[in-house]
Amino acid sequence: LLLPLSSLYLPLQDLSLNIDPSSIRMVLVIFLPLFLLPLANSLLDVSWWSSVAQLNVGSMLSSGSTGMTRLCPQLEGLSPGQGRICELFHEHMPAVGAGAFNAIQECQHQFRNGRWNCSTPIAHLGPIHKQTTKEAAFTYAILSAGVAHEIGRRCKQGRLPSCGCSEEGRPTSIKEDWAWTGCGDNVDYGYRFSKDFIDVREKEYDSKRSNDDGKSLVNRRNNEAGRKLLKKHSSPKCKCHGVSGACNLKTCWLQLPTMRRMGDVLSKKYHNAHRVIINSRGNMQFMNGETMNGKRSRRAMLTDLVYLEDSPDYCRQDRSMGTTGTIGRECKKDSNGSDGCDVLCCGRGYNEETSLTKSKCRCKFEWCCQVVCDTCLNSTTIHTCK
Amino acid sequence: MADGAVIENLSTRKLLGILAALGLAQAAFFAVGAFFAPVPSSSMDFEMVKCADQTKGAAGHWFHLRPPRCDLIESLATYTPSSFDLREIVFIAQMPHARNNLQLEYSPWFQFLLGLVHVEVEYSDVFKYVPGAKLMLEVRMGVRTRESAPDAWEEYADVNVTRTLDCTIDPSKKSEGNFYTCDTLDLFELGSNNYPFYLLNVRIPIDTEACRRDPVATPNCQIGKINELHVVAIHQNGGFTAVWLWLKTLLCPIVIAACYWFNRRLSLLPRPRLLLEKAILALGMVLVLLDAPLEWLSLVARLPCLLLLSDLRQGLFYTVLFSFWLIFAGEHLIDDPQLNNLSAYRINLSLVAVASLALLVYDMAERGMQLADPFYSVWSSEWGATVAYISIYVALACTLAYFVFLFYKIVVVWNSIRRKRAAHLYRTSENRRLKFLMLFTLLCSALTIAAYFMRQFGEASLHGDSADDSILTHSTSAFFTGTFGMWNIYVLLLIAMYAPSHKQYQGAHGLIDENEDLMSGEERGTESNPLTTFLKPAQD
Repeated sequence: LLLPLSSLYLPLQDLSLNIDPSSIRMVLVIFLPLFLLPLANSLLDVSWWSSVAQLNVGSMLSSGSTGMTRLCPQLEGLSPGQGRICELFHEHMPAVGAGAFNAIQECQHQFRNGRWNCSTPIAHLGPIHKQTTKEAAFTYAILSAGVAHEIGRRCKQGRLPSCGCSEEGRPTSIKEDWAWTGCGDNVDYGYRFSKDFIDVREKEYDSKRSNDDGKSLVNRRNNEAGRKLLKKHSSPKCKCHGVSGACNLKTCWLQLPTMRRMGDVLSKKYHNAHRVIINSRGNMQFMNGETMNGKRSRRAMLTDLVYLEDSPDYCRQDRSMGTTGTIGRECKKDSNGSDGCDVLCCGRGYNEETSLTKSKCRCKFEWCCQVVCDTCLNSTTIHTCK
Repeated sequence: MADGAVIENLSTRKLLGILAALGLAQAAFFAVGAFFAPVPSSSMDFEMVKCADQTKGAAGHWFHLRPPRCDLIESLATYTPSSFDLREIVFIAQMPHARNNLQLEYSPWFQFLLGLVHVEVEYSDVFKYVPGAKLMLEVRMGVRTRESAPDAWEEYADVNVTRTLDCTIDPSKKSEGNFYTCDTLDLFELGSNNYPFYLLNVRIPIDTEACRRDPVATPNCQIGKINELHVVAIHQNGGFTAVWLWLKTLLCPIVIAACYWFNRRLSLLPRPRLLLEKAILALGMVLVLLDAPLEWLSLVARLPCLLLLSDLRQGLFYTVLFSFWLIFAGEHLIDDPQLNNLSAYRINLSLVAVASLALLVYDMAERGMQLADPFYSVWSSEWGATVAYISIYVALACTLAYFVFLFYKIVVVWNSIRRKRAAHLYRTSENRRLKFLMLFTLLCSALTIAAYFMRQFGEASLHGDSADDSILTHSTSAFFTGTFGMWNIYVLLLIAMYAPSHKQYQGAHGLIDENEDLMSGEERGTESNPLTTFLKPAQD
């Protein structure tokens, strides 16, 4: 059965995301309170991320900095230190939100086939943050990298007027500094802001709750690993501009990696994450005996993810553990990987369902800018876990 | 040969003293770069913000961020334009950025502004990027002075820029969400930086009709799915300009004085000038040109031609320096009957001339044309690129041939001197002057090359965890001031050492035999004896 249908698309547009932006806004306005409500009370560790991640939308709604100052008290779960930074740098908050949003999307992309798919029953993130598992390590790292990424990006766009120029703490001489030596790097600024804003939380926890079993230490380290990796994977680009374009004069700058690249890098780190324990002095120690103080291992390990606890069983739904279980997840019947029904459904078996879907097919791309497609009705078999 | 030059009459002690002093001066040049000057140039990265313009550019509005005048498009993927030519999407970059809540300003001290554009192309199964696609940007550049209102932009250029988009992608990454790796494209080059603020409004118009007819020849049909445009603006740092200018200002009078002194010495000689002396004088003169601190003018007036001029001055210096080496080596071939005759070198000198001319052609085609149109690039047209390639390859080939020949000549000279020394036909002093210059030249060239590679290495290590700690990244300027100072010292030393000695010129005349007699004379003996005794073991 064929329904011929020709549609027009423009080259700059994504086919899959060709939605009117206003409709997105509407959807998000409606769901925004729903996201925040159940989180606020029970899951303190996460709620701030979730609320900040909504800021992306908030900025779209107000489209500017008007009324931003009032925004900080509305954000749930910010620590006192974060609240202060929020007040001071309120125009940074939409960037933080957008960064977190991108990070979560990337996390879900990376783990789309895993038993843990970076989601919880309530919102994007669950109490996974309360534990210090491998998955939490990944989430911490990608969130802090995402925030640094977005801050650096907005600096480049010129949408953050307060991006640092060179060293901190010399704002009065900035004109002279800039004229004399040029400006610092945006990646550095994003890195610093992300560090200040995200890590301040863990530091406060350190002082308040002395026996958090070193979770803050581990979280901070994973945050740092994410940011460090972002910096490390920024690729330098150079331009020769000497006499006749010769390389006797050369200027280089750093180019941020895409979030997809960061996701790829971090998921590799996730698979090689190190189990650590907190020793009696409150320091981190590797399980297999190698110490953090060994000079060589320390250098090699700074960008590695670490975790304290074993992952919970992601097969079962357990709200107290923050796992959603894999019931209802779509799986691939013949796959041997983590998305195969055997693995994903944890041996519970799967349902088979055949459905008819409409899809664009036999697309012809006409130069330029025009895609002509037919619409086909396909019967597809979907397997879902029991 | 030039008889009785200072170098031959100087005691070893004095010579060593002078060399030590110059060594200190060299260290000082290096230190100035290392401790006073910042890195030579900086860049500022702009991710172009996208604005929607319902008038499609017909109204001629400027779009800017500060003060805000932009109907912001957050993401192109979710934006639905109302027509197919996409003129309503304006990419803007307002240069420079605001930092720490302060609007930064470009200053004339920055000397030049070089703009590059980097296109972010996402892989798409539908909107395919075709290698070698032509990208055409409709660029409007606005400038603003400090006095004018914040939104009163004055049009500086309104041009269509066509470039070839070269992108690659790993075959395994060919899925949505991955990006091509694209070469950075040259956008503009301003030879002076006399406006504090610049604004770029860029459109990527698409002519759907023409694309359907001829997608290869029509620009913007095969550019793929563009996500972002980045502009990178490179400028020279003010601190570096200041240090550089002061160095030049201080050195220039010294070189002028040295040239004047050398010339006076020559004119006091009762014989006509030798070719070698003329060559040294010429070298001194082009160094004066190179050192002339013309850039001071750029601080008060708009002189976009200074960038080209500084290229030309450097080119001239290298041309004369290379010619000088050739003449110097040739003039030591004593048996050559054609000594002291410039036309004897014409074939070899023509290598230098052709190389210089080829580079001149390229430089005029690129930077010369940019005086008229800052967005011009010789590489953007096929014809221009061919001319550019030809001139660069010709220059490379000539330079290579030149060095092969120079090396051959030096070997010949060396051998002939050895032969003569064995037959006791050659004076020690001749040998000494040659050896001295050869060693010194070798040292200077080696240091220049070393400095070049150190700089490259320093820039390469820009990236890395401990980038801030790298000494090399911070000493780029030191290598610049160091090599600059070194070549100044080189020429000054040549002038000083190869000038006719005052102990000599009063009674001297052109005959070598008579000088031989003078050499053994009492007046000279006092100075040359310790020298020859010192150098004897070194030569054996």
